[in-house]
Amino acid sequence: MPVRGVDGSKNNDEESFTIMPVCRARSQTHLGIDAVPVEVEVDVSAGLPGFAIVGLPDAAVQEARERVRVAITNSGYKFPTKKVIVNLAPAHLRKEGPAFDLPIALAVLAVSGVVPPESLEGVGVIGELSLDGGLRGVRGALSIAEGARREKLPRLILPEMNMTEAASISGVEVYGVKTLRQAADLLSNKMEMSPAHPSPNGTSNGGLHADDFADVTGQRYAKRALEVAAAGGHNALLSGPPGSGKTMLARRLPGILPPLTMDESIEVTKVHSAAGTGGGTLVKERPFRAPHHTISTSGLAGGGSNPRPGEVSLAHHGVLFLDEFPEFSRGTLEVLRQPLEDGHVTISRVAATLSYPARVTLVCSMNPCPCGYAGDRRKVCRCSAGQIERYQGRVSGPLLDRIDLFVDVPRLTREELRGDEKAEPSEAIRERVAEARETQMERQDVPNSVLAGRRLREVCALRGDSEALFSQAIDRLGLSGRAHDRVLRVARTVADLSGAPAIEVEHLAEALNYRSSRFVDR
Amino acid sequence: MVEKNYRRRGGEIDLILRQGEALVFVEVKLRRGVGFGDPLEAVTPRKQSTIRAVAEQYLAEEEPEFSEARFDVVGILAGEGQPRVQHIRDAF
Repeated sequence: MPVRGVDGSKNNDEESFTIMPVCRARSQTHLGIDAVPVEVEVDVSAGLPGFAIVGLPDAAVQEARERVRVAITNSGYKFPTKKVIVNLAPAHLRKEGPAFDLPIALAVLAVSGVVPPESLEGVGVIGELSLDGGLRGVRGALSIAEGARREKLPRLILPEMNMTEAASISGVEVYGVKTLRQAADLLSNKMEMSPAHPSPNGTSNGGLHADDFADVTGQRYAKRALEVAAAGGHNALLSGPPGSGKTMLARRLPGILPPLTMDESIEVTKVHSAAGTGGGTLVKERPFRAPHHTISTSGLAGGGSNPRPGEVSLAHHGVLFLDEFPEFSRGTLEVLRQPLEDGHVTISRVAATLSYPARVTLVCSMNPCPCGYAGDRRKVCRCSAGQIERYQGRVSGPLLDRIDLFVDVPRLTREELRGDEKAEPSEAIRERVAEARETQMERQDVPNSVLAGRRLREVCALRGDSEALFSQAIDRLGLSGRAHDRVLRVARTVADLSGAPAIEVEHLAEALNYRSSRFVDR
Repeated sequence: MVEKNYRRRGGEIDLILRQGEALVFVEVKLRRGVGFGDPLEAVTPRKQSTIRAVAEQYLAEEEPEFSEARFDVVGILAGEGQPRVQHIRDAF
């Protein structure tokens, strides 16, 4: 293998006084789902050969030493037999992960003269090296591309498998390379390469889902409620006896969710990419997450010593479905209170405090009691009043207060079970939902469920009859301030679904109807 | 030149030289090829601490007068043809 490294030093005593410039590469690390700039400085000085990395590196960054050294040698370059110091600035920020391999390697090649040091200016670099000099993908490529744009870096070099995802950000030329050698050749203009183009086809199946609402007979009330939930992003609680179809209904929800807007799509991809669960392309479908009830608090909210987003963040702009709601541990459920109200989760750990977006539509299902048949038409409930109270009490009041739609899913009648009534297909519902969502975005730029304060009062102004009905309902139902707002938002969505410019009595009545449940006592 | 192959318990110093006021402890490494790495790379942290320890013994025994002391490493790569000599001042 030809040794191409330029080692121009003369073998005499004078070399210890040759001053070599420090070479810099621009890279990034993650803080939450956003990228923050990290400068990789490499200095080579005369002295016993050595290779040290400073600047608060974690174990994976320390190990970059071995990977970089071997990858440089195996790519046919010479690793300088000098004292090499790598500094990752700013020094106070903890650097994690193997994504600094490529910037370190390129800066080392720059000090040893293989690539011109000035070629690294204005170029963001990120990537993990394998021992043979090949590049492996990194987490969070989209955030990195966005960070590069924010830092006004015109070019970004990263592993080829992250290229498509990063290219979705306009304003940055993204180059996907397969090997360290390609990266070096690209920088020293030995290789022509054109920047990646954003690919139009993301991970979308065009709204086609295996589960269709057409397969569900009966349950028209529940279907309508889920349509409202999907259109406005409202939280729903499905309650009813076992076997009535709560889970089946919820699982069909993804098929009627409105399409993601471009901005939402980028946000969702950032979260998934930071969690390492992204498919390498832009996410085009609203996420639907259904964690098991044994999930831990940090599994749901996010966390860990190298913090990762939890299920509530992975469901950002989508649906978080909690089946068997009361079976979740109470502490776990309570962490949902902040995200449901603010749309993000703040995680404080020793290392850092960070915030993940978590604007979800919460859909949960529960039985009314331990045996499941309280309030049922046919079967007699075997539970004592105390048992029922304890069971329902597992879900705290503050959490129930954040539910917009209480949806009864009763047992199906014989006619419904045996009838061959063909229900409306998901596609038709989805069209209505998408239209209603579009109306909302045009009017206020956010879904109705996020409306608050003055904006809420403007958009959900009531007139005459509806005002009178609402005043009455506030007294009779004893609505809390929060519940009051929630009813208004739901009424707005119902009005949007029927294309009405203002909230009429029937819209408000439907919204109020969703406040009460035969099965769940509040 | 003050001493050559100064050997004490725990190790050896190849050369001890005097350069003006300075006392120089020199480690000489010879390699016949780079198959096992550069000769300079063979001076590991462990080797360095050995040399330091022996140098301390030397200073204790001889009590020489000096204003600065330093450790140099000379790497000699003797392949085919002209050997390559690298001298690193104040190596550690």
